[in-house]
Amino acid sequence: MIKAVNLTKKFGDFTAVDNLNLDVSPGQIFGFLGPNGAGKTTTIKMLTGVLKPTSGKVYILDLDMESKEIEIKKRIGVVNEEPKIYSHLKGYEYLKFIMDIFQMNNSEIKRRIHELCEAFGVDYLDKFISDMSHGMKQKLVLISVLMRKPEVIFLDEPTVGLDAKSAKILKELLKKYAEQGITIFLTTHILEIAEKMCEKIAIINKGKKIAEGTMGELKKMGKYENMNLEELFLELTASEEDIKSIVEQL
Amino acid sequence: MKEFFVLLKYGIAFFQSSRTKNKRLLWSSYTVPALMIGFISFFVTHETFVALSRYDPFAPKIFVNFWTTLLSLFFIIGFVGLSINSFTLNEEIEFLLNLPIRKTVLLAYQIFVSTLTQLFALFLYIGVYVSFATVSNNVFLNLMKGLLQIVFMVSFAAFLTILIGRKLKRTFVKRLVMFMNIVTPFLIFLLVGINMNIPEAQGNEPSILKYLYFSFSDYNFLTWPIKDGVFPFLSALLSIFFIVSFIWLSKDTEFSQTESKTKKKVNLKFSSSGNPIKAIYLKDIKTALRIDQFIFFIIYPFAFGIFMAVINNDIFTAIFGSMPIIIIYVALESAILTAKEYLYIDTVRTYPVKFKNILLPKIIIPSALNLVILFIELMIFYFLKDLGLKFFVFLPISFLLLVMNSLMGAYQTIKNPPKTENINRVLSFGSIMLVEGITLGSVFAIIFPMMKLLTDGFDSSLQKYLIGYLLPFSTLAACLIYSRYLYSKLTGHE
Repeated sequence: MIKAVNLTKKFGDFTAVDNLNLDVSPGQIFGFLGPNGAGKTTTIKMLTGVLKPTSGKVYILDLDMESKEIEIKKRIGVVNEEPKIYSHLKGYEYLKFIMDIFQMNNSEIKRRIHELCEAFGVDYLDKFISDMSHGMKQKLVLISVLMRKPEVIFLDEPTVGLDAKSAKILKELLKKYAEQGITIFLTTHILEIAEKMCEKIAIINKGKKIAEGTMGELKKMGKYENMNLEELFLELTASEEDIKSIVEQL
Repeated sequence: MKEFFVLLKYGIAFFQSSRTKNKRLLWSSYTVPALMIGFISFFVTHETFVALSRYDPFAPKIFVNFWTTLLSLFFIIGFVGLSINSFTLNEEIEFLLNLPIRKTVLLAYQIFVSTLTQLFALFLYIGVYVSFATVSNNVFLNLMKGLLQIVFMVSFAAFLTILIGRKLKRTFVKRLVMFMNIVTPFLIFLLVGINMNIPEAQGNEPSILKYLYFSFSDYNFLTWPIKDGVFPFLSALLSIFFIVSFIWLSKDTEFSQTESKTKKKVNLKFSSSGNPIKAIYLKDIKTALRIDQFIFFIIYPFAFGIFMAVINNDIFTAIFGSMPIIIIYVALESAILTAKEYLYIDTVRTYPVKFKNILLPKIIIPSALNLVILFIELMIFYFLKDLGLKFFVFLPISFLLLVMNSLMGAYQTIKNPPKTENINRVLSFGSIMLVEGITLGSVFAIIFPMMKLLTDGFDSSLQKYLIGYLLPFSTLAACLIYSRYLYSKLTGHE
């Protein structure tokens, strides 16, 4: 469903993503983890057609992003970390805009909008987006994506800014969608979310993939048995001793 | 006081919204045009004051009182209107409120920045008043009174801001400020018009003077600093009162959130046309109508175009006079719409729409809106001044020039896209000069010769073919090629 082949992105001399290979199966919830500046957002941007790779290939739904970009975009949904949406529109105007862009206008969509608004506590669709807080915008973006039920959903830190109830609803909804065959690709800093939700996880650091597998497979890579994801993540990306010495020096 | 200078040094409210990082250049872009206006108003009015003083030594005082009243009103209303934004709890203010900076200092800084936006009215006044002072009996005393007038205006405006700013409806103030900004340049025309009337009177009472007596009333407190007797002293006391009141009131000022409260529940209907292109155009039109800057950029050239059409009997003067305004504003409109799109480009690029379809409304909408202005100008001439239908050939030619300018505006924005929502100055000074230069040259090379061609204004066949045909058509071809080049550069940013 999502395939990256030797994906590389360079900005001048700096290599943000270095020969990344990914293969995500249909209906899978795939977690993509890494420290700040590791290359997660750059990767998602390449996978969703926002950035063109320096080299390598991206295949979504068995279609080549280079030649079938518009067709792919019609069938995927993207929730960015920062909800950058038109501030001069009102909430409902933005949803209508999305309906037009994706050429969707039926009673099913409208019903889903009302259900999602109720679930996420969105009762401010008549407000200007510029007057909304980060969390409010994030919920609006989520609704604009989830209402379409796309075949693949990319989420970059989707729970940032969400209240606990909305975050829980989102997690349950994503699990339900995955069971229905929708592929979910998400990045998160909250390792607990990745541990509980994701069937497969890849860890990236300094542009390179350093680990990939199910939780069980990743645990075998650890120093000792029964490590949780946080301990494993820190072991792979930064040593425990480094953290202790940093804190002692401060 | 130290805090004030720190804010001034880092220019938080001022420089963050600007596109140029060169602070000296930025200060110059504000002060130099204002200084030029000051010089122009000085020289334009000097002869007038001399003529008035020959008629009656009292007459210059009436004239300067009128201008003091008018410009003080403009200054104060514009100042209060823009200062209202000082109370908005935006990101910058929120950040600064976390720091050990007194509210009084913060407000004073915000208000200082607002003063800069009124430099035009201020220097226009200074030019007029200094011109008056030079023909008066006591130059030094009158210059001191002028200084007092400025202190009085600024202190009164700051006091009004803190007193009523929070109570005024933001939308009302915005509309009022926009109206003032549109009318302000017409003050120049008024200044020139009145000044022409007075020397023509040649020693008799200028007819315009009788309309200006009202401003000399003792009840007109806006002119107290420059009057004789006890009034300057009263205005000095008032200025002290305004300053002290400002300091006292500002300590308890609260900054408000930007969100507006919806009064009634709206029944939301989710119907859509299913047409992505229509959706993008509709979205851009809504955005355009909701940005105050954009509305100003439409209304001002519209008002100016109608004004030029009404006061001129010659179509060429009308068109050539309004084109420089229209062309720069079409570039700015395009730049605003492009900038607003680029703020969300990471989201926009996930939509299943080709980039050129996202881009085209930013070119078409400003070009079409401004073409309407030119159409109305031509219609005024057609119905009121017997213009021939053949002159409507300028419409498609003008449309091409407008599209070219739109493309330039969009391209300059994409080259240096904005990073924040605050896009006070979408195009840099250099970009504006580039756009203005290229298009003025094109206008002169196309419209001027074609006007002559349509009015059989050439002396010889050679002149007719070289200037009437070759020059405009070759320039048109060059404009087409340049437009094509810009379009390909823009769509190449995909």
